[in-house]
Amino acid sequence: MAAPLDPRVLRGSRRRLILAGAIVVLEAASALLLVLSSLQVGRVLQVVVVGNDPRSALYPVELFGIFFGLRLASVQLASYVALRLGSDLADQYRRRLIDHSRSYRVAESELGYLVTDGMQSVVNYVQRLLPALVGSVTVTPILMFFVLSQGVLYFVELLVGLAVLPILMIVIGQATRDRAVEKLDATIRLNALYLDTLYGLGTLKSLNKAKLQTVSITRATSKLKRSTLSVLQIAFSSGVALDTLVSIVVAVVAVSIGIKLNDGGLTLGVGAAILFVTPEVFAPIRGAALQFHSSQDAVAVWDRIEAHVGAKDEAEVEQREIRSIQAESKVDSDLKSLEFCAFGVVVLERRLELRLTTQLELGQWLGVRGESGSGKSSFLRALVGESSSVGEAAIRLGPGTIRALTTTEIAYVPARPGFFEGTLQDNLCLYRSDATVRQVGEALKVVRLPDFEARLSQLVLPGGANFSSGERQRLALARAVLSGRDIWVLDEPTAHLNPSLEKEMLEDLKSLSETKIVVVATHSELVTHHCERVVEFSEGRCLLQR
Amino acid sequence: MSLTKIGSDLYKEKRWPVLGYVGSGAMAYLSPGVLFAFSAYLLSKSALKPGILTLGVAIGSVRFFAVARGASQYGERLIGHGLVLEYVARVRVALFESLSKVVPHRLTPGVFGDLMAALNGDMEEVQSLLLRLIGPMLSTAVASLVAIVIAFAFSVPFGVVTSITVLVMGVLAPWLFYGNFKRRIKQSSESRSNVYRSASSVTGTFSERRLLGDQDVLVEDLLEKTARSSRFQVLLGTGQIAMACLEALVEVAALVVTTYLGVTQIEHHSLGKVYVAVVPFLLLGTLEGLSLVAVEISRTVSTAPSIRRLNEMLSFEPRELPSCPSTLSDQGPLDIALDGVYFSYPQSKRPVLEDLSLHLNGGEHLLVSGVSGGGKSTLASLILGGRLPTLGEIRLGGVSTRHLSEEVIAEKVGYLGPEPYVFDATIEANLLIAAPLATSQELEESLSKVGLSDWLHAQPDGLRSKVSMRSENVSSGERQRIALSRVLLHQSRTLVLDEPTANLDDENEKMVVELINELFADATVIAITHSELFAYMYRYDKHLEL
Repeated sequence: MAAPLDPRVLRGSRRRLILAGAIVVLEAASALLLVLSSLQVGRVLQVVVVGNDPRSALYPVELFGIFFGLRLASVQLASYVALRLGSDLADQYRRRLIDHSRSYRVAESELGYLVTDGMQSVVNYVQRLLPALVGSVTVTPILMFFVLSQGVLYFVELLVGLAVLPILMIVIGQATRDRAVEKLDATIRLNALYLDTLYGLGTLKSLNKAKLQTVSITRATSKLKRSTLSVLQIAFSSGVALDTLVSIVVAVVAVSIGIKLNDGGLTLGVGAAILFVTPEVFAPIRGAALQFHSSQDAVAVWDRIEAHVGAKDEAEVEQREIRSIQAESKVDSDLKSLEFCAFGVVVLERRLELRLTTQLELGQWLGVRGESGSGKSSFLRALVGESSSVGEAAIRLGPGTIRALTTTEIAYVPARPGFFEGTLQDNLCLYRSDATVRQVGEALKVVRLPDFEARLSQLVLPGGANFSSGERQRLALARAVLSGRDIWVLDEPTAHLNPSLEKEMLEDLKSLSETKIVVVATHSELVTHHCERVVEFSEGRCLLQR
Repeated sequence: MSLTKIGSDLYKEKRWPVLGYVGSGAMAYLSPGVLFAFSAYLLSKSALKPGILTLGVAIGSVRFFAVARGASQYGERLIGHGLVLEYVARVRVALFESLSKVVPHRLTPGVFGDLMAALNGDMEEVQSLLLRLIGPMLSTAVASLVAIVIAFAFSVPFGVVTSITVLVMGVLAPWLFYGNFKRRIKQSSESRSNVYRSASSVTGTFSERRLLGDQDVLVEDLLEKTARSSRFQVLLGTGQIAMACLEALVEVAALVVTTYLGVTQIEHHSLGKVYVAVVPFLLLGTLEGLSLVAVEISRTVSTAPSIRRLNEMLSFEPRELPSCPSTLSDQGPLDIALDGVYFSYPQSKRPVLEDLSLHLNGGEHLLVSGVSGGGKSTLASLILGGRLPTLGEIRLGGVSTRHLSEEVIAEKVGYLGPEPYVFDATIEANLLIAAPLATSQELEESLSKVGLSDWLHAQPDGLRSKVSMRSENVSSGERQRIALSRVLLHQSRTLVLDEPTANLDDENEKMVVELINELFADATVIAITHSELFAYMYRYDKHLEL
């Protein structure tokens, strides 16, 4: 069984510990104020009903107003402190995840959700659950102590109720767990089926099968409804059992107070005060139990973030990091050659062992060839440090001076280049924000997209959705040309181009790269024609052809 | 169709369950108050040592309300969720039907994806709006009315105070909050979608950003936007707490005033003294539900966009159908004629297609190329009958599309788009939607024609192996070839291809174009593309530049 409160809430922060302390104080204060209010309620009843002196009831009424008002205020204040604590925690995790996304890949569907709605569910969890939990260990004992001081019988009745509560929860939990899991699975499956059919609706329609599918979608949705309802039934029955138990305990206490009063063994004032606090004894525990279901969302969010951030440590062990060496960032102009020493990728499951040993001088191109899935893209990713690699790829600066590649000297055009929301100009100048309009125009001419110069202020949609894939490829190439970086790593830069255009473009690129080193993965003979070195990946091995 | 229409249809059919829902809800909200009030009455009465009958009735009532509370709560949740889930199931079916009127030719693929992504969240918003706001609001309204009636039954001043309290807590306080925070709530939801977009910019450019070194502007932007959105969340949370404080203040005031009133009335002998705590306690129990609902009201602002989006998706209409629909001949590939075709979208004045005339004989191949936004996809939609020309005629096999339904056209004209869909099902099921009566042998043959024999043999269970859009065993090239084999199975001799290689790499693109050339040599084919490579390889008789 999971701990009622995730220990991560308080871990590693002094500020949050102080805030949690404040919640404890506020909850305890609210319990004391409740006891004080209940005593005033008792006094009112005593003087009015038994004492026959309504006049003197006005003062305790005023006092009740003050105490009860302060009590509600302290409850709200505790909720506010919990909100601050929760958002502090959320901010910390958000920052960690975003920092993590600087150097590690986080799926698109995840990052946005986790830093907004996901984190909001963590805040809600802390804001609602923490005061309830703190209340269970402060408010409940304080009120029980008060009840005990007034009479043992009521105390015992409440104690029995408190003892039965967790037993009841566990029994219900055990009895329904398997069923709940099974039903939940069915619900998820049916929901996926519905969405799958909806996503594929276009295909169904173009094969003229959409109408037929309406019948089965109606059946699936009503099945989905039934299975969701039976999941809920289980959840409700436990909640309602809890509430009914609390109500019955309150009723039992009320009745036994009534009987005692009738016997004359108790004053009305005390009896009323006990009755007034009775439901509040259970309130925090009930509140915590009700939040427990919703807390699963928050914990799931948390686990996902930790899975990302935690995976980093393992990845660091495996991965040959491309180190950024500050002191050497100026020596780029001295670049003489790029040396591969048994460098490459090894993927055991795919039976790939690509290790390349060769040397590229300034102005030279290395062509990487092979069928789809032969490991071309993996090799390039390893070279730019995006995935793990074996062996060494190093920069020779001059006789005897060798250093590792730095990320800031590479311009990379992946098979699916990235675009972000912003102007086309911003997107093109990603590597170099100080590029002039003239330079941008020239780069666009190189990739044979001169018309785009007029569209530089146009907004690019996420993923570059408002450009065709061929255009995206060429824009990314223009970005690399603009970058002024020394090493170009290009994955299929001429995809979707016709041969004549491809030929012209390649000639321009070749002449522009006299002071560069280029590694290019390609299917195209025209590209390999420009390469001084060519390596072919075939059947998991690496063959240097030139 | 709209959300309201589906709701009112449901209400007409299920009037009794709806009333039962509201009734049991009202009972659930009222019972704590009644339980409290009865207990207070019991106590006061007991102190005066009444007859055993009075005591017995009072004790019985206390227990009854304790159990009634649990039962009505269970009833409310169960009936309520039953109704809401039924509603959601109907909305799902209605969405399917509505979307099937416009896909695939009247919705651009990108827009479709966005709508789908929003769908799940929107449905949840609506579901929680119904369950957490509309239902409880109706129930507390009824419960509050009953409390007001009870209060009036004791005395007019009680009734007046109760009515004012209900009005302030249920209407005035939420209205104040709403008025003050409307703008902020809107800003907050804007800042949230900004975060989503910024996050997708960050995840989409991972490969490029890694190489930016310390100047990762996109991550900085995300950090800034998340901080802003988190500030809004804290602000709104604080606002809600402020409102809860206001509600608490009103509640305490009501308790004090009613007790004051009770005491004064007892002094003047216009109220029995045992009733001193009845009305205040009744309020104490009932107002709790009211303050919870008030907090929920503030959530409605964020639901509005979801409702709007769903209503938009529900209101799709098919294009007007011909009064006397024609059919298309069974014989061979159709000839296609465009005769002075103009087309402009309803909202815009600028025509997308202007005076387009063209004749394609049966079996001829047409290449359509041109810049993005030139009307290429619109042309596909016109030929497939998704839209009708504003002026001019399109004739398929001599019959104007004005006289043909989309279904009739789909039966004869195959369609292949840029994003072929593979359903989460077996390979067999995925192919059978194109030809329900085909034998396994025919299915295997069609796969081998598109070069998927080896792929099929590599699958663990042959035709019965599972595939889906997410599964690793189907690459984008294989997906497009599965779609091609569907077209083969459907035995369409006339074909419209809309950017079928937009999401493929060069190698797969070459393979697909070769397949198109080879498999559909005798068919009438209209191929729309902006890929230079496609245009270079595709064997066409006529070329249209848009």
